[in-house]
Formats: sequence, C-alpha cells, structure tokens
Amino acid sequence: MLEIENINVRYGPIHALKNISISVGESEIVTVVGSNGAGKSSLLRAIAGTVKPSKGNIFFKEKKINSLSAPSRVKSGLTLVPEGRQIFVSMTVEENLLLGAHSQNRSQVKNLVESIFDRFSNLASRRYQLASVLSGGEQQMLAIGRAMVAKPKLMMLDEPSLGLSPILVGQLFELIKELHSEGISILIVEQNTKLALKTAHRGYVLELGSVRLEGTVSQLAADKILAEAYLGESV
Amino acid sequence: MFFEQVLQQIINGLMLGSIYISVAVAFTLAIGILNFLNFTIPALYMFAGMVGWSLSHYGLPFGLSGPIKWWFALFIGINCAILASLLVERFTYRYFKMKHGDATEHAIPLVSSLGFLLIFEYLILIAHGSDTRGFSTPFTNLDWRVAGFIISIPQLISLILSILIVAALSYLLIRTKVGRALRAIAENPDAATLMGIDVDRIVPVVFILIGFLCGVSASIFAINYHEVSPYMGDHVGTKAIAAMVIGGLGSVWGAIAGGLIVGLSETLSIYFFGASSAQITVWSLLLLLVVFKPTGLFGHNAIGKGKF
Repeated sequence: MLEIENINVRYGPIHALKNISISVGESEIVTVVGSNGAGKSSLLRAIAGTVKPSKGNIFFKEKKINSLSAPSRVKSGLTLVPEGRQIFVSMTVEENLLLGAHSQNRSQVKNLVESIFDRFSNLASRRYQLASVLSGGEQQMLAIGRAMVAKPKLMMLDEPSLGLSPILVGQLFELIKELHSEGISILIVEQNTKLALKTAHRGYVLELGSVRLEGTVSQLAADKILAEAYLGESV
Repeated sequence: MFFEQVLQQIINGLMLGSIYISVAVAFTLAIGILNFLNFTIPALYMFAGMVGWSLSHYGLPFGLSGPIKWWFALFIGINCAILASLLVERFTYRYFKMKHGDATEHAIPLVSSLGFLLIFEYLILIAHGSDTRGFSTPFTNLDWRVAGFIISIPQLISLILSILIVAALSYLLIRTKVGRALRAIAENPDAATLMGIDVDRIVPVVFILIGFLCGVSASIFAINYHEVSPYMGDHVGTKAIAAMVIGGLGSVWGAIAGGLIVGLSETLSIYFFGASSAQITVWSLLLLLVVFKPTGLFGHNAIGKGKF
C-alpha cells in the first residue's frame, strides 16, 4: 500500500528525517513510536505532502507520488488526522465534515456525511453547533470522521490519544481497530507506546530522525532498549 | 428647516456609504481570508474607473474602435480590475508563498502591494495626466423627491446594489463549497490542505472577488458623481480601511455598517464643520472605537483573521 524509500527531510540546517524507509501493507496497522523530536510528525507530513522531502521516494498503491500535491494525495486515498485535531473551530460540526469530503463527488457527499452521523451519535446531536464547543473526545471523533468522509485507503493518525482521558483513549483505539476491519490501512504515530504496540501489527522506532528499530509488535515489545526507553520497564 | 437639512445630509451620507461598502468588503476579504492588507485595492478601484472613462472617451487602444457606450466601457473596466488583481496575486501573494512557504508571515506582500498601487497610479498618470475627467451617463438629475427630501435614484439603486452584492458574497462564503474552502483557508491553511483543498487554486478566487468589488464600486462612483481621476482611489481607500476597521476585520456585514457609518460621518462633518474636517472626524471615530472596542462593531478578533 505505502512504501517509503530513503526519505530525507530538512528544515534549513536541521536534518529532521535521515534516510527513513518504512512500509504499510494492505489492511495493516503500523505504528511509529519515538520521543519528542524524533521526526514522527515530519514523516507523516512528508507522506501527506505538506512537507517536501529533500531526497527519497514515496510510493502509494505502487505509484510514485513524490510530485503529487497534498490535495491530490487526499483524492488518491491518503488522509492525515493531524496532531491536535486541527478541526475548524469557527465552523459547525457538519461544515467540518463537508470540508473533509471536499474532494468527493457532489452526489456522494451527503451520504458520506450522514454515515458519520449514523456512526457517531454524539456528533449527530451537535450537527449544527460550532466545533469549538465539542469536548476533547468529540473533537477527536470529528477529526477522524472528517478523515473518513474522504474515503481513505490509508489513514494516518498523528498522536490521536493526546489530551484524552484513559476511557476515551480506549474507545479511540477500538475505533481504529474497527476502521482497520473495514479495510482501511492505518499508520499511527503515538507517544502512548504500550497502547500503540497493543493495537498495531508492526512498528518502527524513530530516534533523532532515523529508524532505530523495526519489526512485528512482539519483536519490538521483546526489545530490551525499547522496553526501558518507551515502555517504562526496567530491565 | 435645520432638521430637514440634517436629514438630507443623512440621506446623502448613506448614499456616499454605498461607494465605500464594496471597497471595504474587498479589504476585509483580503484581511479575513489571507491575513493580507492589500494596498493595491485603491489602485484597482481607480484603474476600473479610468479604464471605463478612457474607453467611453477614446475607444479601444490603437484606434480599434471609436468611443464605447458608457455601460460597456465600465463593464470592461471591471474586468480589467479583476485581471489586474490576479496580476497582484501572482506577483505578491503567490510568489512569496512559493518562495517562503507562507506569504502572510512576511511583510513583503504588503510592501509589494504598495508598490503595485504606485505603479498602477503612475501608469495612469503617464497615460492620461492628473486631471479629473468627466464621465457622462444618461443619469443626470434623476432625483426622487419625497416629503421635501431629494434622493438621487442612481445613488439609491447603487446602495441597494452594493448591499445585494455583499449579501450574495455572504451567501457564497457561508453556503457554497468554494466559500467553505475559503473560510477553512482563513482559519487554518495547513488543515485546509489536508482536507484536499487546493489552496493555490482557491486563493485567486479571493483576488477575483476583490477586483470585481473594486470595479463595481468605481462604476457606482462614476455613474453617481460623473467624474473619475487618477487619485480617486486614494480618497476611497483610506475611507474604506476606516470602514473595515469600524465594522470589524474580516466581517463582511461589518463592512456594510462601517461603510455607511463612514459615509454618514463624512457628510455630517462637512455640513457642520466644513470640507476639511471629514478626515479628522472619520479617523477620530475610528481611533475612539479602537480604544473602546478593538474588535470593531462586528469583528470577533481584535487583530488577525475574522469570521464570516
């Protein structure tokens, strides 16, 4: 589904991503973990097309998409739920979903938006309210719903559990599993390493812009360095 | 008698406000959506008026035609303002966005738009000199006398037209796909891109609307005051900025209120204190408002991006 080959991202003198190669297969949940500043968000932004890599290739559905604009990538089935939700707070819940469906055919938009309201009753009851009045959990549902109406083949989530209560985090990861069971591939960047490894099939550990470790979640969970650094377990 | 005269001035002020409304909305669109104080707006206004006059007086360039009918000349003038506005978009906003990633973070587009203002003004000065030119239309002395008051019919139609255009614009921003995309760009351009909105394709729509609003406003001025000049933009530009701030940055309906308030203050000030007092009254009013209500009458944010 997604192949990244030796990608490099630079912000002026800062070398944020150094020769990163990762992949996400069909109907796979892949997680990227790492500490602050490891380059996780830069990686997702490079895949989404909002940051230009200085080197390397990105293939999506076996097509090279390096030169594809961010909006064209959305149209081809790649969506990103950004860190901090970034919902449009001056607009209503419905308008946020309509924006998510911006690249869809006019005839499909209504059904797509209604399918989100059918799925999330909390959002349906707040349909005409400003998104700013939603709770943190509802805002995250809206951000995911907004990505779903774009009919993604691969959904990327950047720190989705940030700022949510443990109960809501549990619900959120259940939802991610549901999306996966519906055939959407998932690439999830998460600081909650335990939960990410519990949900995903495979994972990568980023450190200072490079891939430090990769493997199945059981391989990663068994790694002593990872356990000590990210799972809080003393070895 | 005194009250009748004051009431007549109020009517005149509201009619004058119709000129400011469209230009104030043009300013508020640029600020509200792009966070860009577009100084070229007064030049686009002047450009539409002068092109309209030139075509109705001389005809097309290079002797391609004789003098053109006033309405068609103004129509071409409006289109020229739209094209000039797109030129400004290409060489100020888009260029700096491509070069630096975000045009609004830099003062350069603002300064470049000021450069375009002067270039347009001096090009017109070179072509036609600095004289005020008469613009003839069939609408002279078309007044409506009601209970002793004189209401100019073209001015009344202009006021209604200005409000209708702003209402249509408001509908576009609130109800349509393009409008939603523009509001998304206004709030968070990065998140808008992640929704699949092609910011580079949508932003020119703002500049087309700006050119259109300036062109319509200049046409309304030419029809009502029967004159145009290379300096007509300077006068309306300062008043429209004041109208935008009074109404609230980024608020389309605020720009209508601001335009009418500025028109009223100007005519009443001239009536009571003489012609030189108009600018002092308008800008004192603005400064007072900024002190007591920095968001303007209908604005949400004291500074920066507005909500429609």
